Amino acid sequence: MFSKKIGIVTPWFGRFAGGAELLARGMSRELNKRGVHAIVFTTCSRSPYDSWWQDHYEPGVYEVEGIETRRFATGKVREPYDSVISKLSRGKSLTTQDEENFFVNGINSNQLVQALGDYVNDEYELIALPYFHGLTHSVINHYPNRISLVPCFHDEPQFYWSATERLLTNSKHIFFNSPEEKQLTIKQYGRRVGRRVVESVVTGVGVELPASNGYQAGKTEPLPDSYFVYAGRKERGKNVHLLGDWFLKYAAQAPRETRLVFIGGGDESLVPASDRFLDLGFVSEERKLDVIRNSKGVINLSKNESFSIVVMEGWLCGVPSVVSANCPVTRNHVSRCNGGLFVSNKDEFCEALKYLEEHDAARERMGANGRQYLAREFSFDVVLARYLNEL
Amino acid sequence: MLNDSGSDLDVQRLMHEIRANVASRQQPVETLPSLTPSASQGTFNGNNHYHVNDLLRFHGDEFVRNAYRALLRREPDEAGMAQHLEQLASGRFNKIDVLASLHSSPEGRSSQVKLDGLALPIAVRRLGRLPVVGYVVRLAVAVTRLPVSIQHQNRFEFYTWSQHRSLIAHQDQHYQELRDSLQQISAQMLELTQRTAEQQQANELFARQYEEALMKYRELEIRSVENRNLSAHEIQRLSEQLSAQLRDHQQLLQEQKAETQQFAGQLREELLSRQQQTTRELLMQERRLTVLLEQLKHGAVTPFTPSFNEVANDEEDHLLDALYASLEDQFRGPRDEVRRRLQVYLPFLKEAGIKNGVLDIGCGRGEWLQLLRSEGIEGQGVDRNRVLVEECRGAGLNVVEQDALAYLRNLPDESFNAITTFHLVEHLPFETLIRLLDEIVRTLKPGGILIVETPNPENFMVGSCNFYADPTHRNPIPSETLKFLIESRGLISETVLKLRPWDEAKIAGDDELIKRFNEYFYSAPDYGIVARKP
Repeated sequence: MFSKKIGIVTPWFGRFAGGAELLARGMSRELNKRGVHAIVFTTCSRSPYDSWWQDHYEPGVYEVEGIETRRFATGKVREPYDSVISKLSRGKSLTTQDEENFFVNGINSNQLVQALGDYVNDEYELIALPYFHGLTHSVINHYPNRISLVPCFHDEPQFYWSATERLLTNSKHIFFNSPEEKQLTIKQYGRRVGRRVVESVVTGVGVELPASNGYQAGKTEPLPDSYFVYAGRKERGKNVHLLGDWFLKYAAQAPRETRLVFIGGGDESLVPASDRFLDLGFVSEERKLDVIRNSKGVINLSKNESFSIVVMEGWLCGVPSVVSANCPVTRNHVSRCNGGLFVSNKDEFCEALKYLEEHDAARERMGANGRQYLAREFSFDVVLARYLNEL
Repeated sequence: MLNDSGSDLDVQRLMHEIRANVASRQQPVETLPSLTPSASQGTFNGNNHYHVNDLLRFHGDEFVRNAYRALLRREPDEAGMAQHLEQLASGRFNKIDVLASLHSSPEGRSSQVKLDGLALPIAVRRLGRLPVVGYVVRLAVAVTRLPVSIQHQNRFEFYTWSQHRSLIAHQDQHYQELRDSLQQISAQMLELTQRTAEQQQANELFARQYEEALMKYRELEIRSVENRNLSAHEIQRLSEQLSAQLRDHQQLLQEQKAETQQFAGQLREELLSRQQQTTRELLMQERRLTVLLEQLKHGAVTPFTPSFNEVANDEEDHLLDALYASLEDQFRGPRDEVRRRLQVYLPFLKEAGIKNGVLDIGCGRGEWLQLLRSEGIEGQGVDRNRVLVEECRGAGLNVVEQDALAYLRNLPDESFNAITTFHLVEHLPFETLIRLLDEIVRTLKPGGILIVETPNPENFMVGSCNFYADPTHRNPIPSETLKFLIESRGLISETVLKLRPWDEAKIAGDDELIKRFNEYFYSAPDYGIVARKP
């Protein structure tokens, strides 16, 4: 029996449903279920889409979905961070100081860093995530080799900054979400950070259906007869604009009135004005899974995924996925389990959707393959055992 | 059409099929090439007699080309063809005009080809060009030729229709050929696309394998470098460890050497001590022998000389002197240690201002006398053990060999400023002790000091065991008893010193049992009483 307690450090914890935050929520919830006391250290900010430099919550101890959650006031200095973002958006090159400003003056909490000192001992194992935010850098660099890291790396500019190397060097353990993420890290930092990167564990992310099976569909918007689903934030970084464009072409030649249903928030202007698109916005977790379960498949054309919980949710519901052939993580997930199709252009996209619509047996087979793959590789029992063995 | 993959679903293969399908739909559709009219085959080669109707059935450039071939016996030149076509197109010339022009040209005349049916039309054309009359002539001709013209018109329509059909048939044939060719090309393209897709798949597989191999190589390289670093580090660590071990062993060796030397020194001292003891024994035996021989030699016994028996008895009393000296060495403790212990009594002498007149009864090895001498205090000792007396004398101390009681009895009253006796009283029978105390009281000066030290039986280990380590001990004397005896003989007991309690061995704690245990087992093993003669 694992005798220590686990402390998870993450910038946001609550209703926000980013990938890293979902990971933290699932991990802490499931650890507590299994008798390992897990608590969460986070900021008073609600989400990165709110004014994250403002405290939406009062500092103090909360209980979020049964998890002990300690909130600390955020850092309030914005200007250096905004300056870096401005430079990035204009495509200007950054100095090392800019990179430093990005991490130090982004979402952060000096009070949290100081308070964590009481937990840096033999009684606790601390884990911080993700690498993209300043808070993770601050806690790990302040207590070198005492806090483990779940980086959630993507192939993006910040991954190549010098601060990332320092973060890896100061981490106690490194836990990767996928073999591709680990390979990317070895490729860039293998030589400099050394064998600790090579020998780090690929834990994956725990994915299971919510325990409540008694969901009753209430008074909800009726769903189309035949539809595909995109579940996640609507943003260009996720190639949602491409998805709209490609689906319009497919809709023009589709044999029936097939639609694309969007779930989640984000930039609504990315959804083309057409009756072939249905944007449900935010829905409950149960409703989301219900919508996915009745669909012909889940589509995710994002190229920057370190794990893609959305694809996993599709498989949980027994439906196949259509992913980008240019995203190594999702493509390899799909290839490993024969759980969907991967496309690299509009024509392949149309052909793939047509295939899924016309071949019920193959579609169900792909969904079943995906579900078996999850049970084998990413059930919480399997994933948490990988973490605890290392800790 | 893609297959439903069923249970043997393979996404890679399926994607390959999808790509091939897409590729087949993306073949560029070329525009049909324009049809070229078939070349008219001239049939006017070699004849030199024609009728105009033979030529008038042709139209356009075919008419001009055949007119040239028939009348001039050659192919039309480019300029001629252009000129005649232009004339026909303008409507100013008709085909009769062209034939007349060619036939009447110098080249036409020289070719000597006969063309029937041309004379009348030429004549009519010429008349038709005359003013006024020409119009009437043209009108008359036109009316006259109307049936013929209608016939020609019908023939022309048929000709046009047949040409059109021919053209369509030709076009259909070419289109069919083209379609066959395109299908062939499509099939080839499809095959090519499939091969390309297969190749691409193979390339992707290769790229993945290459990438995996590269990653493995990188991992191995990193491990190798680190192992190398680790090995170097390990070697250095082992080297340092070995050096440290070597240093430790050297130090241990030094210590063992020192211990061995110390042991050798102790052994040497012990041997020396044994040698001295043996020498003492020999000297004692020699002395006894000499005395007895002297006694035997003189034979005569005078009232002033001791008898043989007296001498023998006296010597018998000293038979165990050497043994007791050895016991002293064994159990009393090292001389330096004893000297150090006895320092506790010096303040009493100094406080009383005593500089001389100190007698140490049972002075043993003379440690106290040595201490007094080092402090500038004059003292003397008395002991009945010849061996120890000899040692004291050897050390330059003033010591008398005699029984203490007998010695004191021969001294006048108030002879000493202080009398000391360490670890003697426990050797004496009670009566002797009383007598000794009485003699001490007598020979002390008023204000003189008596110091007595003896084992403390209040310490259970001493009272039950350690006291009996010396077989010449008689009875342990509790401090209260001795104090009482001293005071009962006329001295004032000033201080009882409980000496050298074993504090460091005491068990910690305030519990009553612990306290009592500590008191019984770790309290002072010796005590001393300092008394004064009033």
